Order: sequence, then structure tokens, then C-alpha cells
Amino acid sequence: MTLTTSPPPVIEAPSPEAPPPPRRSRIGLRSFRGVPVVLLVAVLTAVPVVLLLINSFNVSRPGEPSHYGLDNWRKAFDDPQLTTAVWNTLRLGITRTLIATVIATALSVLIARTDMPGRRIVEVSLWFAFFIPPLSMTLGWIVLLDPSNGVLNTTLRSWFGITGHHGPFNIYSFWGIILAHISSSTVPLMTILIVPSLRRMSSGLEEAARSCGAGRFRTILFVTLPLARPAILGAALLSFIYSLKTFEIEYLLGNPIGFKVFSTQIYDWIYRDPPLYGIATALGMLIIPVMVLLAIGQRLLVRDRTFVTVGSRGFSDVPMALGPVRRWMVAGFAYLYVLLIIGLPAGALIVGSFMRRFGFFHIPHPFTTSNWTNLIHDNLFATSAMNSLKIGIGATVLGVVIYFAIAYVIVRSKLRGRGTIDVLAWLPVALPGILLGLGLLWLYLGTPLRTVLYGSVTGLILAIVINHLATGTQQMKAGIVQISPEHDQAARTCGARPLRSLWHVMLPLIGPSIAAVAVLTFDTAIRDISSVVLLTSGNSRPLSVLLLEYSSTSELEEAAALGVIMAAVTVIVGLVATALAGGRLQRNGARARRRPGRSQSTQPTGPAAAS
Amino acid sequence: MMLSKAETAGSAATEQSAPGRAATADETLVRLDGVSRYFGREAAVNRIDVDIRQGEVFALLGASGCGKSTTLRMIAGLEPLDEGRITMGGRVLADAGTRKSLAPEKRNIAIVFQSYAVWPHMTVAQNVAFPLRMRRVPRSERRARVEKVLKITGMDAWADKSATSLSGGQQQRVALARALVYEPDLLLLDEPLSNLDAQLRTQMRREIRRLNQELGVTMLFVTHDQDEAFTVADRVGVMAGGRLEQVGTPTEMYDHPATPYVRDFLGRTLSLEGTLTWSGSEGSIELPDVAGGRVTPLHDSGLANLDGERVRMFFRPEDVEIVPATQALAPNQVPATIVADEYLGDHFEYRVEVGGSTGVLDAPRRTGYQVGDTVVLQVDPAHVSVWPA
Repeated sequence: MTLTTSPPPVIEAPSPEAPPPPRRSRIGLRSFRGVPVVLLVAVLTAVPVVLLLINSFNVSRPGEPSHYGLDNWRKAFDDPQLTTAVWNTLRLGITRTLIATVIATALSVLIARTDMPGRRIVEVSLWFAFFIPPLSMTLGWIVLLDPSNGVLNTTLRSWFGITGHHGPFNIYSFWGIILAHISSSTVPLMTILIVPSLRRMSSGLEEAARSCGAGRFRTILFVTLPLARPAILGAALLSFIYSLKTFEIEYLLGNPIGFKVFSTQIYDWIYRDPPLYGIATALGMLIIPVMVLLAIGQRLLVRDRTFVTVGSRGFSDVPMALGPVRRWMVAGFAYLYVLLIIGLPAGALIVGSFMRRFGFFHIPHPFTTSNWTNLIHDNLFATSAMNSLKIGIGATVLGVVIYFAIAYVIVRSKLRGRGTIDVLAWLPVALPGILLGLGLLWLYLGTPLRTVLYGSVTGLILAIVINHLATGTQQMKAGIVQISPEHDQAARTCGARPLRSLWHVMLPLIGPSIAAVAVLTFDTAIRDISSVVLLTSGNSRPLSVLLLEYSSTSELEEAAALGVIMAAVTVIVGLVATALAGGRLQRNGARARRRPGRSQSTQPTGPAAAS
Repeated sequence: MMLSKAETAGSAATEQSAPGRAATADETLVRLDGVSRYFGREAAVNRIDVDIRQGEVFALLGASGCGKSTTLRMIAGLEPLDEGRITMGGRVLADAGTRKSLAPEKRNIAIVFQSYAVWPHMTVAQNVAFPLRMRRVPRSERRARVEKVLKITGMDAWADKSATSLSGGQQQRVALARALVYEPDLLLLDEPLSNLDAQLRTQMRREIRRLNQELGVTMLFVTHDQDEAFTVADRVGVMAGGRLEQVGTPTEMYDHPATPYVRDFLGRTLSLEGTLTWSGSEGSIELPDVAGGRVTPLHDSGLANLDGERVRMFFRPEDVEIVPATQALAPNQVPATIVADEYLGDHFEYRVEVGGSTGVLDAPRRTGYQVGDTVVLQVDPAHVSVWPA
């Protein structure tokens, strides 16, 4: 799961001016200055994929002398598990995306376009859910919906006198996986992507529909939603892409019932004895072309931003008044959603971390603090925390430098090939973490880099930097685009050389954006599981992988405590990033707003309103 | 600008301005009764009373932030009222007392936004058909009416074009067509011309007048541009700081401003201080700053109670004439100094100083005064307005 504050593709400002027409006189050494950057991006994004492709024909194990043949492909296609895994992946992804699109669109419209009371609280709750690691949220759902001991299940059974020791709900199921995803990733992600583009819409477009005779509902149906269609479709497609990439929720909830998606199937084949590297790689190669097509399609869809740019003159942002009764009714639904789907599992996770047996409320003295003391005194915890810290800091430093360099070249340089860089830098979004890990595994094991990278913290840092490349670069681009090149040009005319202008003028101006990307990279780094799980060893195991191990080896009590710690860290770090990016956005928003008084228009404090 | 003044001045004698304007004059369509709107503690609109008559074009004129757009939005139902009441044709649209407010879609009022708000996801024809769709007008009738209104606004050739491919002027015509297609009782226009270039602006001014005359639709429009208000509107209301300063025809406003704000806001003025004496039937002002200077006769009987008081008299540069200097000043003559000149080809613009106030004066190109020259201005006592000092 990748993190985004300023949603990467949607917030992306219109791409900079078209490349200058080729001039013969410019062809020379200067034309090749873009080559190093193209090479860097190509190495980061293409090498793992190319290694996967080559090694899908390699019938020996990583690190052994290569023998090439079609055996892997043949075996993979002969294995009925492959078809099942692909089918499961698809039906999970489609179902989730459809449900989440409806919920996220409704929530986004309420948050961004109406005067629903507490809309800010609903929005922050969704950010909150977005930053909690999916695994932590899933542990909360297990406390609630475990078929035999889940609190909701036992409560419902006793209320309605249902006999038996199971049900009525089961989190270890197709719908359980969907619920866990909707709660922790799909709906929050989509809302976060859709809300900003809805906010950019001038309320004049809706007000015109109202005076033309359309009521609130028809205005939203015929004007608001069609106008937001590119943003909604873009968010849905991105969320579908992410759906196909996920690993840990399916691993935790699907494995016990033998329900496999392609990422857990690959993991399964690799951790089998003997490991089936070749077949796993072949399965991965099946997925990648589909993902690349989806990623490019998503990009093209979002790039068509003509809808939003119209009406930027005379922009106004008056929220639609829902009426005194209706605004509280819709607020009730929104609060209910937040409470049930976000608050309940988060609370259950915290309660679960204090239980002697995870989810068992009916045993005598169910509560204890020993999970926490055990965890804190566990050596594994200490070394993992240290590893996570190293990985987080390392990935942040390396990531920010690389993302900034790439983004700066794409947005500001006149280099040939920057279009290629732009596309290449977006492609990792199509690369599931588990496949990236697998590709890097071939690299680490099959080359002299083995001693440095395999099983080491450095190797994990590299994996995370690549995994976050697409979003990190998009966010950097958004930050750079906001700063007018004239600041830079002014510095240049004042006598600053390009690098000095970058250092003294551009960097201070985009400081907040860089800080936000840095914080988010850190956040991703410490919660990333899928890209590092195949690369980690006992010495380099980070907290996220430890959490996965605890969760899947029925040490759920300590897993819950660790889940709370991870959630606390990621939420705090994530909200810091949002504040950094949001503060900047709000300042811009205040400037863009024509009449500052308008924002208060829903709550008049004048004499009439007071009386 | 020069032309518009001449036109309004010419029709000053007749109370009704140009023929054909305001067909049914005195029937009130919309009435605002003590309407206020607060943003925070500040009154954006402060107890406004105004009547808009059936068939007229009414302009709300004022500097930005004076509350004119908020007033417009309250009439449209897009902004709630904090005080007062708005009625249209006897029907209550909104009443702050009973907290009742008719939804915007039920008012049958059309609005053309400053940004036009033409929906970019629909074609021109779809944009214009939308209000009819909302009113469940049958498809065949819809098509006919859309066609007709597009012809009226001159956009029939663009019917199937995407709204995003239009220029600003064309978008505005689409917005107008969309507003007119359902025959609204009232058409509101928010700064309709401010986003157009100068040439289009003049063209659209005439267009708006033509639509008013041909279709008889009552129009209320908001503008910060005096020329725009004066050329297009039958009556003008000047707003400042949320209050309505004065309502009247352009000539009334220009010749008899009711408040100092209106006096200074509309056009340019020069002023001199003096003492007023009233002799029973007429008044005169002694100007101490000007040796032997005197302005007389003043016939406004309202001046009687200013007898013996210090007053400031205001006159407009376009009402004075530069005359050759003589030995002694005749009555209604005041000396002025040229402090700057600008040659515009067809005429001169002189900045003159009169008794401490400066103003810009147009003069024929043959004059050719130098900066520093003293000239004599002939003031017309009929066009002097007198205010307590």
C-alpha cells in the first residue's frame, strides 16, 4: 500500500509547457545531459522487471548456475492454483473497487461540497484510517468478527439466541477481506483522492443548476458528479491497481482458509520446501503487463483535466446548503460509517492488546498488561525497532534525493527524454511489492551484490525507495509545479548560477513540499511489508515484518500490542505530513479565494443569527 | 464614455430615458424589505430597501466588496437572509423573520455568473436544454425552444460544440441562452461584462439592452463599472459598505447625487469653499479664496436653510468652460492653474487646480495652454451642487 497526501496523479498540475521544437543547433552534447537521469530511473524501475522476465525462463534457483527453459511457464499453467489465485485477485479487486467507489464518492461529495456538520471530522477520520497500517486494522476486525470468539459474533449470538459456536459473521472469508480493505485502505484512499478535485470545482457550476430548476439531488447527479467523473474514475482505477498489489490482509485472512490471491500464492511458492522460484516468477510476469496497462490507462484518464480548469475565473467555494434537517441526517450516516468501519476496529485493536487471550472476553480476568511488557522486553522487538528506524531514515534520505532529482528534471528542465522519465517514474505503481521483492531477490542473489544487499538493511532500503518511487515523484512534481519558474529566472538574472538558484531560491520555496514527501516516505518505509518480506533476514527484520509474523503465528496478543505501536507511529507521522502539505495548500487556497468572508457564510454570527 | 454622457444628458428633460425602454414602468416585480446579510460581525448587506419594476433593467453599482453581489445572490436564493424579506410578484421568496426561504430552483429566477458557469461536460445545446429537462419539457418542444434561444443569442451554429471549446464571449452567450430559455421572471447578471475585452464589452452592452427590449425580461445586474451601469440600465442603485446610497435614473444620479459618496463615486468633480447667502428667491456663494469671486444665481430652494453657512460647492469639469482671462473676474468665473497636461491627439486633458482641489478637464486641441498657466473657468450655476462644509 503506497501513501499519498497530496494525491499523486489527481493533484498533479497540468504538465509543463510542451517540449521545445527540436532545433538543429541544440543537438550536441547538451542533448545527452538527460541520459544519466533516464538511466537512473530505468535502472530503478526496469531492472527488477527485466530480471523477472529473464528468470521466468530460468529453471534453476537464484544464485545457482542458470539453465533456461520453458518449464516454469509450463508448470505454472499446469497448476490449477494459478488460475484460482488470479481469479481470486480479480474478483476481490473488482468487488472492492465497486463498493468503495460508491461509498467514497458519497463521502467525498458530503465532505467537499455540502454544509454537512462535522465534515472536517469525517475527513480527518478517513486520513486517520488511511495512515493506520492495514494489518493493525485487520487485527481489530479479528477481535470483532472472529467466527467463534469475535465480540460482535458472541454478542449477536446471545442477543438473538443463535445456537452453535460460530457465526453469524466470519472475518476469514471473501467478504471479510473486502471489509478489512474497505475499512483501512480503499475507501480512505479514494476519498483522499477525490476530495481535492471536488474542492477545485467552482460552486457557480452547481448554483447555475439550482437556478435552472434542479434540486440538490439532481444538481449533484447531473452536474457535480459528471464534472468529477475523471477524478472519480482515476481514483477508482488507482484503487483497483492497489487492490491487485495487496499482500498482507489476504495473507492474514485468506491463508487460514486456503484462499489465495496471486501475491500470497507467490509468497507461498517461495516459502515452500523446496522453493518454487521459477513458477512464482512466471506467475509474476503474467500480472505485470496487465498492471502496466492499467497504470498507463489511469494516467491518461487523469491527465484529461479540461473539466476542472474551466471556470477558474470568478471561483467561489460556497458549500451547498442541505437544509437544517437533512444536513444532520446525512451527517448521521457519515458518523455511523466512521464509527462502525473505522472507530470500532481501531478500538478493538487497543482492547485486544490488553487481553490475556486475544478476543476472549468470557474467560475470568480477561485483561492483562503482560502483552505489552513481554513485547517491550522482547529482544526481537528491540532489534526490529532499530532496523525499522534505520530503514526509515535511510529510505527517506535516499528517496527524497532521488525523487527530487527526477521530479525537478521532469518539471523544470528542458532536457530531451523527460517525457520518457515521467512515464518510467510512474511505472513502479504497477509493480506489486511482492514482485519487486522477487525481482530484487534475483538481483541480490545472482550478482556479486549479494554480500552487500541480500538480507541487509541496505537491500530493504533500496526496495522501499523503488516501491515508493511513483508516488514520491508525483508528490514532488506537484510541489515543484506550484512554484513559478519566474522565481528561478529572477534569481538567475540576479546573477545566480543554476545550482545556486536551486539552493537559495527554489529549495527554500518548496521546503514544505519536500518535508511532506520526506515524512510520507518515512511512513511508507516503516509500514511496507510486501516489498521487503521476501528480502528480509533475521538480521534485518523490520517491525512491519515482525508484525506479520506475530499475526500469522497466532501470537495475536503481542501482535495487537505491536499493531497499536505501529499505528500510533504511522498515524502521528502521517498527520504531521498532512499538516505540512495541508498548511501549504490552505495558504494557497486562502489566496485563491475571492471573498474570505464566504467561508463563514454557513454560520452567521450577526445579530439576526444570534437572536 | 463621452458619447454615453451626451446621450444621458440629452434625454435628461424627459423623465423616461430612451424610447422603448421600460415598457410597463411602475409595476413592482421584486421588492427587498430591510434585507441584511452578515459575514461574521460585519454586515455585508445592511438593511436594503429596493423595488425592481417589471420589465426594467436595474443596475446595482458599487466598488468591489460593497455587498452588491451578495444582494444578487440573496435574490437568487443562493445566500440566506439574516434580516428582512424579499418578495417577487406578491410571492414571498425569503423571509428572515419566519426563516422561510424558497429553494433557488423554485424561484424561476435565472442567473448569469461572472464565470458564466457553463458546464464543461455538456455541449452548448445540452447546457441550454438543461433547465427545460429539469422542468420535464417534452423532448420535441425542448429542441425547438433551445434552437430558438440559440438563434436569439447568435449561438445556433455552435449548438453541438463542446462548451470547453468556446471563447469567453461565446460562453457568456451560452450562459445567457441557458438563462433565457425557460422564460424566467427575473434575470440576474453578476458582473456580466467584466471578463470580456473592451470591444466585446460594448457589443454585449447593446446585446443586453436588445434582449431586454425584445423579450421584455426584467433584468437586475451587478457591476462596478459606472459606464456599464449608465449605458445599460434604466435605473441604477449605488451601493457602498452594504448600504444602498441612492436609487434613480442615470441622469438623476449624476445631476443630483443624494449623498457625498454618490457625488464622489460618479464622475469627476472640482470643489470650492465659500459662504452662502439666500435672498428669498435665490442664493449666491461668496468665494473668499478667489478675489471678488461669486457664483450666482442658485435656484435650489433647499439652500434657504444654509443661509449664512460655510458651504462647499461642487461642479463637474465637463460643465465648465475655459475662457480667456480678463482684468476682473465676472460672476461665475473662477481662476484655475494648469498643473499638468496630456495631449491625446483629438483633444487635450488638463489637470487644473482650483482652490485646493484638482480635477481633469477636457479642452479642444487648439487651446494649447502650458503647465503653470492661469486660466479662468466659467461655471454654470445650474449645474452646481452645494453641500454643508
